[in-house]
Amino acid sequence: MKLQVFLMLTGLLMYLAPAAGAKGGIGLSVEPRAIEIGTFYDGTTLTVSGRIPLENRVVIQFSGERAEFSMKQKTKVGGLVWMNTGSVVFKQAPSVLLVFSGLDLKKSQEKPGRADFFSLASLKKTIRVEAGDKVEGDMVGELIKLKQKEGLYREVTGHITYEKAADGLKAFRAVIPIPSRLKPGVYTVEAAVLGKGGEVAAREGQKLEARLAGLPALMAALAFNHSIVYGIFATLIALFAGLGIGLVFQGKGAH
Amino acid sequence: MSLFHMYLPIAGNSVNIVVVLCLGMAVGLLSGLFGVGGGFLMTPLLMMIGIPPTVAAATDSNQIVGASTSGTLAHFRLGNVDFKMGILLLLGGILGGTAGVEIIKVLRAMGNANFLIQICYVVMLGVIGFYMFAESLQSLRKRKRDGFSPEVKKESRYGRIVKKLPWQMDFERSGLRLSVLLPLILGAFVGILAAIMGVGGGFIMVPIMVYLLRMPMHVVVGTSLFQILFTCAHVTIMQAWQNHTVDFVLAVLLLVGSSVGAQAGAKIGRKLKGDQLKILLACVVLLVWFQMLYGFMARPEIPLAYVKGH
Repeated sequence: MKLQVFLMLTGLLMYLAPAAGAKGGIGLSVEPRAIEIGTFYDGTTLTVSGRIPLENRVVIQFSGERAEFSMKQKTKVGGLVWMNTGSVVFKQAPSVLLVFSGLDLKKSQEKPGRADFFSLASLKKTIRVEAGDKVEGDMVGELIKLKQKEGLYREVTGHITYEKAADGLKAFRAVIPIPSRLKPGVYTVEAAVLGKGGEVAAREGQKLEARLAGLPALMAALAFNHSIVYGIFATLIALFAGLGIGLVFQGKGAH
Repeated sequence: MSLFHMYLPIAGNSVNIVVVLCLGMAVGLLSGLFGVGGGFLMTPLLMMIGIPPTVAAATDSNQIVGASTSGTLAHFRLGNVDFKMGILLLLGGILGGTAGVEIIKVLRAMGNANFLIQICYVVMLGVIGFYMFAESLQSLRKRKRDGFSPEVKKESRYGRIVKKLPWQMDFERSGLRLSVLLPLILGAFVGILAAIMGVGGGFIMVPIMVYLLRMPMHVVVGTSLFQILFTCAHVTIMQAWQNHTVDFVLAVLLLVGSSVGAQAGAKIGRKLKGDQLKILLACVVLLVWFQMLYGFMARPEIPLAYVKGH
């Protein structure tokens, strides 16, 4: 128990304290400070910048809140058809996880003791799986594949540029693409300074809110707060639109 | 931000407006041509462009309200809607649907119900598809061989039983005299199947109208669309109220495309003969059957599925 408390405190200090190498912290800046999801939203970009020691590199992570996902595993039944059989619950899985780095994270993680906080592979250690008897195989691996297919988990090499700066520090700047499949909520942008050996020398994070605006905000409010009115409204609009189009065709003199 | 993209607040994703309009138009064309809702095709297509399955199915019901209104209007102007028959089938469908919801609860409690339902669906689609295909092919060949001589059919045992049923009524638009009980019972049967299988029922209703009610193919299409309109309006309201899965913005985009497609479908259908329409519909049914069969038997790329929308 004491050991667990010690490890938790150490982790918290590592997260909060600026690195010894990056005097005064990374000075992380994220622009814009919030994501507005309006009518024509189709993804956006965030500009992340800061300063790190000359000899270090930076890894940037954009992550969503950790949540629970209830899923079914498909298995072959009767040696013939694939059916949903066992139930699987993934706990502490981030809704979104995008990792941007200037180095090949897979190679960096091959050696023990290297930083693996900022990678999809690290999810295998942090996501908890509750599964029934019928579930078998690497379920977290399959979840990562599914989320990658949806564009919500990504590991990208590149997107970060460095400029020389004074006082033994260099400035970094990254323009990171945010997916269009984004739900309103609180997201975190984190930057980690990696030492020569790949170890995490410092971390700094900022919270960022994604919120609905304009028509999507109005529709969501109606759909969730006045659902039966929304259902009747949607039906009536569809009905009148169908009638309208039908009359337009009639007007063109079909019959 | 792009002017060709639109964010869907319920689906939680952005879609290309042009792609959605084209999808709506293609499915609306089928709807106007064959009198089916097109949910069997639209739902997987929406899932392919990143819409969660539950939102795709519920939103599709909403757009079918628009497409079937436009299609019903087009067929009504062509004199192809038998309102009397449609209302009786609808009443039966409501009763059957309510019973079906209770049956599915019992089946689920017994376990492995999904497996049974899906197998039933594949078998039913296969039987209907192959029967329609063979029957219309035979009919087309016969017509080519014998010309347009009127066909004299020997009355079947089914025909004799139907004639003996009480409460006979004239259905002028279909040119039939039938017992009121028959459309009510058949409508209830489709309602039960539709509730159990979670589909609109157009694919089962159309062959039933053709082969068991013996309605003319053109009247079948218009009447089926009229009935689908009410079924889907009910589903839309229920889904929006209970599950919050109807994305109205997506539905509007789809129905603009599908209403135009449904009008075009009704006009193309007018130029085709009943047997030609039947054989085309049989091909579409068989295509869906094959796709479902493949889906069951092929190894999925990722062996995981969401329990509820994500």
